[in-house]
Amino acid sequence: MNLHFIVLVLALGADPRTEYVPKLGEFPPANVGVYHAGELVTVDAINRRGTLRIVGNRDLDKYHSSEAQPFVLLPYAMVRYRGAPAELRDIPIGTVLHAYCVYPLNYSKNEKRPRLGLFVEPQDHAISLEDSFSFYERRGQAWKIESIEPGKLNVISTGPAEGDGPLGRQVFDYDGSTRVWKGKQIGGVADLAPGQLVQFNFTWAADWGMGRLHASDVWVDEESRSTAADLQRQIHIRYMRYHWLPGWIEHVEDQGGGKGIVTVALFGGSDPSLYEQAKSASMISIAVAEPSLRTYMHAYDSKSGPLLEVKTIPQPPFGHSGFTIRVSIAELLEGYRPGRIVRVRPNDFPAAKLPPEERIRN
Amino acid sequence: MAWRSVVTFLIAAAWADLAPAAVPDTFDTVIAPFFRTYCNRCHDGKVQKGEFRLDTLSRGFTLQAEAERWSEIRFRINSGEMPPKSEPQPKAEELAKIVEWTSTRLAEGEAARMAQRGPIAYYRLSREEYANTIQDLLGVHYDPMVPGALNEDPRWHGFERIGSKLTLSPSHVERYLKAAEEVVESAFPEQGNPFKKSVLDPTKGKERWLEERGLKGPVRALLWPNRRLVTTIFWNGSIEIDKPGAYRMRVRLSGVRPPGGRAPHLTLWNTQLRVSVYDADILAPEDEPITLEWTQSLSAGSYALWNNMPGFDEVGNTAGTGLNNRQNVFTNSRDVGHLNPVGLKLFDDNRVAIYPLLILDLVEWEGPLVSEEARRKREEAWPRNLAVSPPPMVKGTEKSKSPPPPPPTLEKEVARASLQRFASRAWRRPATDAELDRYVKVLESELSLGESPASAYRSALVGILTSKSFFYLKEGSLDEYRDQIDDWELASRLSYLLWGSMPDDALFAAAAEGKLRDPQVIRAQLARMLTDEKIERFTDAFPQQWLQLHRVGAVAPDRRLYPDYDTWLERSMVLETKAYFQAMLRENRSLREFLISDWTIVNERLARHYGLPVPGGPGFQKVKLRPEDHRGGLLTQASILSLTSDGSRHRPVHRGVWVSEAIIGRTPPPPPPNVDPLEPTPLNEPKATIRRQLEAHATHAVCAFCHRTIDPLGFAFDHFDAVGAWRTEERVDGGKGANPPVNASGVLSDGRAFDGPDEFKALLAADLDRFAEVFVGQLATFALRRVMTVDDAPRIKAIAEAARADGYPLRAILENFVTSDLFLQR
Repeated sequence: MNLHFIVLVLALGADPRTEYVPKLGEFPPANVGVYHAGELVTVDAINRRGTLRIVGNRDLDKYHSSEAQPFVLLPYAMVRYRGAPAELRDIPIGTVLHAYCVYPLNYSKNEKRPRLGLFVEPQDHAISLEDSFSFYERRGQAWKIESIEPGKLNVISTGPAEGDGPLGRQVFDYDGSTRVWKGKQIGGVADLAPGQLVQFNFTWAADWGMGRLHASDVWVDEESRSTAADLQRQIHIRYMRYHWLPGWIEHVEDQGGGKGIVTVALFGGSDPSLYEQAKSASMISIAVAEPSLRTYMHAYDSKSGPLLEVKTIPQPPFGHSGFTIRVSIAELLEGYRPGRIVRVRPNDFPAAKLPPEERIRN
Repeated sequence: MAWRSVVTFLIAAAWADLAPAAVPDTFDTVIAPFFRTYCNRCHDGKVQKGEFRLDTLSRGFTLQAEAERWSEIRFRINSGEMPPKSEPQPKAEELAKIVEWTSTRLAEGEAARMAQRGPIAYYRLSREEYANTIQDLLGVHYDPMVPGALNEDPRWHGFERIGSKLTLSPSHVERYLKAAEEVVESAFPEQGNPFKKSVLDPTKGKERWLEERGLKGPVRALLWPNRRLVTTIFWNGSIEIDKPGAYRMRVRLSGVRPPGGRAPHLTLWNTQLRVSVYDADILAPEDEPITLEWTQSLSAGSYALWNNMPGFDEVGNTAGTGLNNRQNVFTNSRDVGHLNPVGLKLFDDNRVAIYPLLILDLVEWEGPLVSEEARRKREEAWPRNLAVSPPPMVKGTEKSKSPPPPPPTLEKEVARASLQRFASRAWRRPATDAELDRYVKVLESELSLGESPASAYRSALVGILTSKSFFYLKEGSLDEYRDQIDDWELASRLSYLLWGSMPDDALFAAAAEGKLRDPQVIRAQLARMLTDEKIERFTDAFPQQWLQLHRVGAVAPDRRLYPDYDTWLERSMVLETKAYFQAMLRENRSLREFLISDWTIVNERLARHYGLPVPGGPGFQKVKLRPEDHRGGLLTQASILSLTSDGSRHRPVHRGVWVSEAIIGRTPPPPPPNVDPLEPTPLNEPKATIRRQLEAHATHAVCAFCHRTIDPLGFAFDHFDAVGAWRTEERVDGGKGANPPVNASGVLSDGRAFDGPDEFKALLAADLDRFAEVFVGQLATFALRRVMTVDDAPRIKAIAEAARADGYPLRAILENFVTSDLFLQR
């Protein structure tokens, strides 16, 4: 978002953080988006979209009649689960998530959109989506158990006292369904003890309308948290190696005869080891993708060429990995145009055909 | 072959080392001593080994039996079978001399047999001439190349009209009958006027698609390199022609190319015959389409518009194609969001074409069209007051109420007069009453069987077209033996020479007056005929046959070695040679310029192939050549250099033989049987040029001797690869090291040395008298439809000599020829 935009929206009295309209080819400025927190109720993992049952705010009208808040992940959206990069498919239904959302791509207020549901915000394109574990941990926050009552955990947040989401002194529900993670093992509620510094994941609670949350998971020690994060990291690495790293085309330098040099900005949010593999690759394949990050027959419909250069961006904008690559391509594809989404395969990633439902076919 | 031998016979210095002495070789000086030394011990009257005697062998070559016996002797000696290894062996020079002498005599004998003429000589029309004649007779387009139409004509050294070759079989008769029925039906259709107008509009049916996507349109069909518009996912783009004939085509399109790249090339492609019927490079900005409009003859069948140049395979994914049933429609290079993103990118981000692209808006075609002249000819051939087609059907109840119209009547005398007019034109001479009676009988017989008058009359027309008087040119008469052709025969000889077809009314009129033999009259007719557009048939057919251009592309060049080669280049090569000949005739240039010149006629495609500056305008243009271009004359045209190659490599021996036959007028003896082919260079040996391999290869004594004479004529063009592109080193697959440099030097058999094609051409041009005689001989073979013999040689020489003082201008040669005894005699 450029300065003119911020000046304009400030002049109009609007909050630039909530009024940002994303565009393909442009990374968002820092700290934009409307905060939505809610339980994941539906998921279309392939198209990277779903709905959230927004956490109650004691507004009973909303409690009774609000519709679930839809969201669509922007191409560069950061998704994290259990403290590690994730895809929507990794997150169980019922998990309370924290999202920052902006308007749809190229949104115009004059644009006709389908009717929005009651209490549904028009900012429905997520630039980030996290479970509570990731959300609080990223901000340097955690929970300290102060006392335990049957079915209730009295906790207080640690770390910065400001920010979105519940903070300060809170009461969370728990019961026998609550998974307690201890060391590399599953523990039990008996392993919970006052004074522990923990991270939670939450799910629906009976009186959610009043803002209550039920602890679905509690990580009671550092080893349990790093174990969970490591496992999720490996899940995501495996996924990315088969689906390839997303990014968008910044520039195409046509060299005649269909040849050209394609510059791709790689999106952030993946494990650093994947970017290292991209940086050290000799050959890169580039598959055209859609904003949903879905590809066509990516293993066959991509073109590959030598990696000419890796540029490092010292302080990359949100969504940007900090790495831009230049690849020489002998036969440019139609989808290699500035702003178009692609997925790139360093030559040691597998080139396996994806299941048909994942591909764009029609 | 034979007449060329004769020319060489007369100009004994042609192959000096084969005829070094002032006294020509004879049986007594060459053959008899050889037989005595090496053969007669086993093949005389006493031993007669293999029941084969040489001591009583006839010295004649004219009779078939004699020729076969001599051919057997040549074969045995040439193959090294005789004399047997256990016997004394002749030297290579002796072997070569006997093979050469025998080959020359055999060729003379063959020529004499092929040129034999009785009181009447019949020369069947070639199928090309048949089609031309039908066109000029009735204005009907008949394509003899369509499968199932007329048989392919056998060629003799490229010539397709040699009478002794064009025999008649039952299959020909059957096809002539079928062809005549088709022609008559086309000219006088039973079902009324078949005229139809058709349109292909890519936007049609896509309006809703555009609206749904907020696109303005129109939809334009994008043809990337090698893309044909036959059937596509979104548009059935084939052009269907039901009735053969003249069609007016209209195509609105743009043609864009990448900076510095080739122009896109539009071809109208007959998908059944697999031939191009229209070609044009197209350049028009994307937003400023042009409309091409032309009229041409089309055979029945399917046609596709094709961006004809090497490119992506038909199945390749390109931005304009559908992917997995997803419909992608091109509108313009601004709106690319809906194109297939995993197809190849066709326009860059600044809307500049990445490949040569054709963008089609509209295709319209209408026909068959009938010209006023064709209408008049048809009216003359059809009895007045006789309806060609029945009146339209009366529908429904009216039919029962109204009495049927009275059957049209046909007055016999009117019909006879019409048949008389038609037969006299078709047969190219007045039809006699006795001849006509047969066709009037056909008419009456059909009528008596209940056929309608129109149908009966059609049968009579078919009869006239299947008469031998139509598909044969007759010279001479049974009543008297005459040396001279008559005026009607002369008119046909002239018109089939210049127009490949029947005489027109003016030529008929001159023949009818009986003054055509008057040199003034024939000169006037020649001058008139040269200005008629039908002269293109001569400038097309004669170079085609003389230079054997049918061989261009006969072996498709290897796509791996010549990735840029395409059918347009191939066609352009042939068109260059024909356009060159046309310009030579139009500008009345010296025959010398067939050998050496500082100009040629190229289009953009050829200019790029030759490395010449790209001409400014579209189509073929005359361009000035610089010495460093290494072109000029026929011999360094890509057509000639290609037809003497085999698709993967140049063939110096083939090139040598071609130069020897077409330019020097001499057919070398055939190679010995069972010659091993050249092997590819082994991987562990240095790369070697074909020349080096040939030199190492010619180990057989006879091979080496003849190749010494043939090969330099081919080596002179070693700087040109198999598709006629200039090179300084020869690409050699396999072998070690760098590609070897080209060596295009050599020594002619008379000792004159040359280095490269330019010096070689200069040597040929220095002996223009010889070439002029060769050229006249080729022209006479084409015109007189027979092989030239020893007897013709003095007259050929005289024709050429008459133009010598003026420097052999082409029109003078032609004029001398058509007024010569040779042309006027049978």
